[in-house]
Amino acid sequence: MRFWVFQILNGLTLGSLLFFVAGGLTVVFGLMRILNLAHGAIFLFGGFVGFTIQAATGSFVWALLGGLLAAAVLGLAIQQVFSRTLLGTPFNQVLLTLGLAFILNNLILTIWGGVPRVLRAPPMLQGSVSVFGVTYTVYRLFLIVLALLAGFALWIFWERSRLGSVVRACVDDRQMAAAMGIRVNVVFAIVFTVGAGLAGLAGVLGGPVLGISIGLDFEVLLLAVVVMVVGGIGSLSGAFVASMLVGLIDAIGKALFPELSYFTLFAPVILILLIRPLGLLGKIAPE
Amino acid sequence: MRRIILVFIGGLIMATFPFLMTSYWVGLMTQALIFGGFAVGLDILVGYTRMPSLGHAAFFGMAGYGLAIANTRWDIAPWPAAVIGIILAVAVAALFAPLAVRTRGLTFLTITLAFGQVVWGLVTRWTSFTGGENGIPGIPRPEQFLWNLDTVVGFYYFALLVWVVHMILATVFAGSAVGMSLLGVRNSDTRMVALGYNVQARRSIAFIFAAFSGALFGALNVFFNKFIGPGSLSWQLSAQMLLSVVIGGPASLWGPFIAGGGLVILKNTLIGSTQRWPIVLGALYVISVTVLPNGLVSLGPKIRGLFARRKVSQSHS
Repeated sequence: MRFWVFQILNGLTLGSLLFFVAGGLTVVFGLMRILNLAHGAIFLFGGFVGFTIQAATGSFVWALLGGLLAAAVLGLAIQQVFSRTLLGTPFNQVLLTLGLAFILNNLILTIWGGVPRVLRAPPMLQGSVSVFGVTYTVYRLFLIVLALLAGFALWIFWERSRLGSVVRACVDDRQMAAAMGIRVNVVFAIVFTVGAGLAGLAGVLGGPVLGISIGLDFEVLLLAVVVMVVGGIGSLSGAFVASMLVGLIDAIGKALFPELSYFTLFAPVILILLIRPLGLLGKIAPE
Repeated sequence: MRRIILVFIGGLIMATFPFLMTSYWVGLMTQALIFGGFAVGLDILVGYTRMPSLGHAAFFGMAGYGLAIANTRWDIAPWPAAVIGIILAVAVAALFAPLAVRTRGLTFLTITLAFGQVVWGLVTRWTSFTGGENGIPGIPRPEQFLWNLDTVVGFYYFALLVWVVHMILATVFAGSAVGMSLLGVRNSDTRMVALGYNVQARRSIAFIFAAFSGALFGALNVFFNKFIGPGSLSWQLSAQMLLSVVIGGPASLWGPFIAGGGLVILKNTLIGSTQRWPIVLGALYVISVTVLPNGLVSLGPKIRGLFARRKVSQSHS
């Protein structure tokens, strides 16, 4: 029983972090049919910026803000410089964003070195509490609550706000939205920037749990792509459900069959996609 | 006619290469043949059928591991061991293909990626059988052959022979009725269904052909290195091969070969000269798509276009 509570909490923690990364990825794809393989590198960049800020100021909140901002600026720069290629054929996007991922990965290695780093959780969230008889870190519980809150806030924004309905309109039918006078380019830039910012935020948030190290960018990217496709492309609620599902499968699989960890994660993914090629809550068929 | 001259000149360079260059370059060229050949096979799937696989390194590695395990664990001679490895990879591809080709586009990309990760995960964790991260060293090259394969030059000619046979196979396949129908599937699968073609079966055939190419060159790669490690089934290798096809120009067979081989040579040269080679490689990807969105093969017409324009402007002046 305690084993299960512990593993479920671990899975939800990972799922919470994944949601921040995959949310941006899936909306950008749904909106512009762009698969951004540099998303993992942006995540890592945000994490390292956060690490530097915390080392300088000692503040976790400043680290969060800095990581978010730095990643958002990087995202905006990528979007602005490469928007023509980004909107080209899917092959060229994959090539471009993977090239950017290699470049960013190596730049990060040049700037921060190959030593794995850890961020310190803020003092008020350090320590642990007892949950269903399991002693668990406060910070990790905070992450789960934060993801729930962020998911709820995003859902309100998505369903109820004007900008949210504009984005949804663009996801459903870009041409028609443009014909109705919506400036799709601006929406594209905003969504890309916000998505990158969220990834950077996740990099800092994940700092005390996953650490920050070279290689994590590609690992997180793989998981986020899986989340996106399993949840259904362009579906924010799908991304939420799939993040938690992937987090749980990964944590429980790793705990039960440590020697089969990749198998236990990717085999169910193959199954889900074979039964529902559009993902759990997806409507858009990927081109 | 020009094509025949090009093939003749290329063939002459390849055939005399060991006499012109040092053994370091002959070894590098052997690797270029291996990965360039793999890219040609992948082009049947990616270029001709437009199915972006990010998992075909799994077949490259699977054949290699099949060979290595059959040889070192079960004491099977190198030739039959290679056959076992290739059959294993092709059989797994034949089982997986009908499932995978039900999806398309990004879902297909993810399914192949997931498949590749499953194989990679099994190999790296099942240490007692596969050697885990350390791989399997000490696989001998075959002894019974027309010439000695245990020299750099001897193996180069063997790789060249395998490559030529495979290239002929791929060219014949791409030009056959089935190959042409793949282009039809790529351009409009609904129309192909309406014409009475079994689209899924054709996609499966392309998938299996690409897996066979991967397996063939995967086995060759093990004989070349006398070693296999999990790097040969990593998704990074799958990505590199996919990029080779895209940079080279999909559905041209020659383009992916030149890009695939060129990438290997470039990577090796860069690793030797700078720590920052991923930046150069990444920049190459970025520049090639922004400047040449249709791949290397579009370079020729582009240059010709430049000259043509110059001629026109000259005649005007």
